[in-house]
Amino acid sequence: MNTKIFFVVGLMVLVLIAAAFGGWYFYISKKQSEVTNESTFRGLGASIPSFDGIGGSLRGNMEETFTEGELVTKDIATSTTESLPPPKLWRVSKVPTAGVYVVAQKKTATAFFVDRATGNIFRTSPGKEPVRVTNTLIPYVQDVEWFDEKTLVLRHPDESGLGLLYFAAVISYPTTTPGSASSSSVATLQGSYLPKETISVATNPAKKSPQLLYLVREKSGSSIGVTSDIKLKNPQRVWASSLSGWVLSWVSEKQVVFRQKSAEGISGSSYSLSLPEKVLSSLIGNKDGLSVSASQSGDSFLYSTAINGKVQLYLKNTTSDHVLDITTFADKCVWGNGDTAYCAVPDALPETSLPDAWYRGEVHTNDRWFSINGRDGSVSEIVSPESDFGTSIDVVRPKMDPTGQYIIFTDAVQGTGWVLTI
Amino acid sequence: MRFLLLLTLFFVTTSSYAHALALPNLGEPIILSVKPAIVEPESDVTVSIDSFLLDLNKSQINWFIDGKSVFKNRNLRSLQFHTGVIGSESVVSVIIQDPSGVEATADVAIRPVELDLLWEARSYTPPLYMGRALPAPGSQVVAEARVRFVRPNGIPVAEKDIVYTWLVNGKGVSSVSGRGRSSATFPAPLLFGEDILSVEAVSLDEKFRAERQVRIPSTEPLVVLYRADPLLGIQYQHPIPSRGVIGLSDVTVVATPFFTTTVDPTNTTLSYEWRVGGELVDLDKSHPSFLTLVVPPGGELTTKLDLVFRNTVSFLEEVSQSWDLSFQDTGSSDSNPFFRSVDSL
Repeated sequence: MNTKIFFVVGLMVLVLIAAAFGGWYFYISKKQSEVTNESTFRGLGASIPSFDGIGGSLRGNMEETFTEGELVTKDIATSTTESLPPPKLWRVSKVPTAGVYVVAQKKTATAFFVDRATGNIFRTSPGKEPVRVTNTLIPYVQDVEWFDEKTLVLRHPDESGLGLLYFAAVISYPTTTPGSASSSSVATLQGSYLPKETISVATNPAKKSPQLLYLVREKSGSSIGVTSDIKLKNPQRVWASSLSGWVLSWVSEKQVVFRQKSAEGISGSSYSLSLPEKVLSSLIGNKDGLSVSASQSGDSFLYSTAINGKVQLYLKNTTSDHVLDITTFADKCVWGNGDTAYCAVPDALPETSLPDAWYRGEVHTNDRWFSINGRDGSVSEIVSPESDFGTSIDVVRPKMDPTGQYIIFTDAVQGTGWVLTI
Repeated sequence: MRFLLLLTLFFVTTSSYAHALALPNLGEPIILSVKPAIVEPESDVTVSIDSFLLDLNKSQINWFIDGKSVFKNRNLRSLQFHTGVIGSESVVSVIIQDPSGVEATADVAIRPVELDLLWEARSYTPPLYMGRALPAPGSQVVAEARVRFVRPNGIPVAEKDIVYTWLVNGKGVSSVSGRGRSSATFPAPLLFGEDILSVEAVSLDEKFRAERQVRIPSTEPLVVLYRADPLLGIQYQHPIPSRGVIGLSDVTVVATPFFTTTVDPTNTTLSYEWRVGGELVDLDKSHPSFLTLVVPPGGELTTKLDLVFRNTVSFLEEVSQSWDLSFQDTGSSDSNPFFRSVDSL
C-alpha cells in the first residue's frame, strides 16, 4: 500500500516537474523571441565587421545591412578581372554616396565616390568590387565637390548637427618605400577647413592646378566670393553682394555662374563672372522661379521658370530664346563639351509649389534623360531608367566628366551615385 | 520688364517753325514717346509722335536713325527698330513738314540699360536648401539693385554716380535712398500681406534712368520633420509626411524650421514643445529640435506626434504641426506617387 502511494505521489511529482519545465520552456522561448526581435531592430547580433573584404568590409557590411536591390547594370558580372566599359547606366555604389568623380580610360572608366556615412573614399570600375582609397573618418558627409581624382571639397555637419563645414582636401597616398607592400596601403585625406561662415563652394573644372571659389556670409548677411588654391593660399576677392542666397557653378576655366536661389513665383537673376578680370555680366534677370544651366562655351544656357504651378524650360543662345518641348528644372540639366545639353525630365510634376517642395524633399520625380541641341533646341530621349532598367531615379546635382563622355549624378531618393554614358 | 530707357529728348525747331508757332503755353510742338518705357538691349522698341500744333495727317514725316533716313516723305506716325547692346546709343530723329511749309524736328537718344532688382529675406533655411529664404512676418528683406549704365565709349557709370530711390508700395523711403545706395533693408510684409518694392536709378547727369519693381509676398514659417539617420545624418531629402510610416525601429527625427527670423537654428530663443501620444516629452535641452521615437514593445504601432515651435521673441512665429506615425514595414503605404520610400528606412 505504502509502495503504491509512494509510486503515485512520485509519478505526480514527476508530471508536475515536467509540466513546470514545459511551461517554463515555452514562456522563455516566447520571451527570447521578443528579445531577439527587439535586438535585431536595434542592430544587435549583426555580424562583426571583419575589415578584410576586398573593398573594405565597412562598405560590405553597410550594403548587406541597408540594401537588398540588385544592380541595375545586370549586364555586368561582378568581380571580373577584365576591364569592361561602363554600361549605359551605371550605379556606382549601392550605399548612399556624397559625390562621384569619373576618370575615363581607354576601354573602361574608374569611379571615385565618397561614402556618405564615413567620408571614406572608394574606387571602383564596372564589374569590379570597390576598393577603399582613404580611411579618414568624416561622418555624415552631405555633399562633395570634386576637382580631380585626388582633390575635393567635402561638406559635413558641424558640432550642432545643423550647420555645415567645408573641408578642402587632397588624397594623400603613402610614400612607397623599397621592399614595403605600400601599394595596398590606404591613403588619408589631408587638407584645410574653409572659413566656418562659408555657404557655398565651386571648383574650377579646367584649371591645371586646383582652384576654389567659395562664398562667405558676413555678419551683416552680405556675402563675398573668394578664389584660392586648394590649400586656401592666394585668396582673392572676386565678388560681393548684399545677398547671400547664391548658387555657384564654375562652368569653364574663366567663367563662373552665380544664380539666386529660387522659389516659385519669386523673381530671380543670374550672372556670369569672368575671371581673372572680375567682369560681371548679366546672364538673365528678373525671371520667376529661375534656375540656370550654362554651357562651357558661355554662348548658350538653359533656364527654367516656375510660376503658378507651371514649370518651363528655355534655351537661350546668341540667336534665340525659346521655350523647349520638355518640362524640367534647369537644376536637372548639364552641358556637354560642345553644343549639346542633357536634361533629366520628370515623367510628371506634382501639383504643388515647385521647385520649393522638391528642394525640401517633399516630392520626388521619376526622370528620363533627354539630349538638347544647343543651336536649334530640338530634343530627343536618350534613356529611360524606368523603362530600360526598371529603376526610378530623381536626378540631382548632374555633372559632366571632363572628357564629356559621362554624366555623373545622384538619385535624390536613395542617395546613390550614378553614371550615364552618352 | 527689364531695362530702362534712355531718355533724352531734344526738341529742336527751325526758325520758321519757331516763328510760326511762338504761342505761349501750348507745350512742345512734337511729343515723342518710346514703348516699352524700359528698353532692353537688343529688343524691339516703338517710337511714336504726336502733336497738338501740327496737323500730322497732312504732314510729311521723315524718320532718321543715327542720321540715316529710314522713311522719307511718308505719313508714318511711329517707327519700330531694334536696339543695340548695352553701351550703344541710337538717336532717332523725326522731321515733320506741314502743308504750309513749317518744319519741326525732334530727337530721342535711346540707350539700353539693365536693372535687376534682387531680394531675399534674412530668414533661416537649412544649409543645403536650394530655395530662396522667404520673408516671414517680423523678418527683414534685403534688396539689391544691379544697374548697368554704360556710356557709348564703353565706360560704365560709377556706382557712386547713380542716385537710387527706393519705394515701398509707391512711397519713397528716404532713409535708404540716395547716391550710391544700391542696397537697402526693409521690414517684411505683414502677415498675409504683400509689398511692392520699387527702385529708380538715375545717373547724376540724368542721361541714364532705369526703374523696376518686384512683388514680395509674406510667407508663414513652417517646420519640416526630417529623419536623423544614425549612419547618414539628417536626411534632408526625406521629410516625414504628416501621415508617415517610419519603419520597425527606433528613429530620431529633427524639426527643421524654414523662414524663421532667427537665422541661427541653435539660438535659445527657439522653443520646441514635443508631445508623443499626447504626453509632453522631456527634451534634451542641448538639442531640443531632436527627438528619438522608440518602438513601443508590443504596444501601439501608431502614435501621434505634436510639435509646437515658437520663437520666444516674436509672437508671430509659432507653428503647430502634427504627424500620425506608424511603425510598420515601409514597403507598403505611400499613396503619394511623388514620394518614394528609401530602401533603408
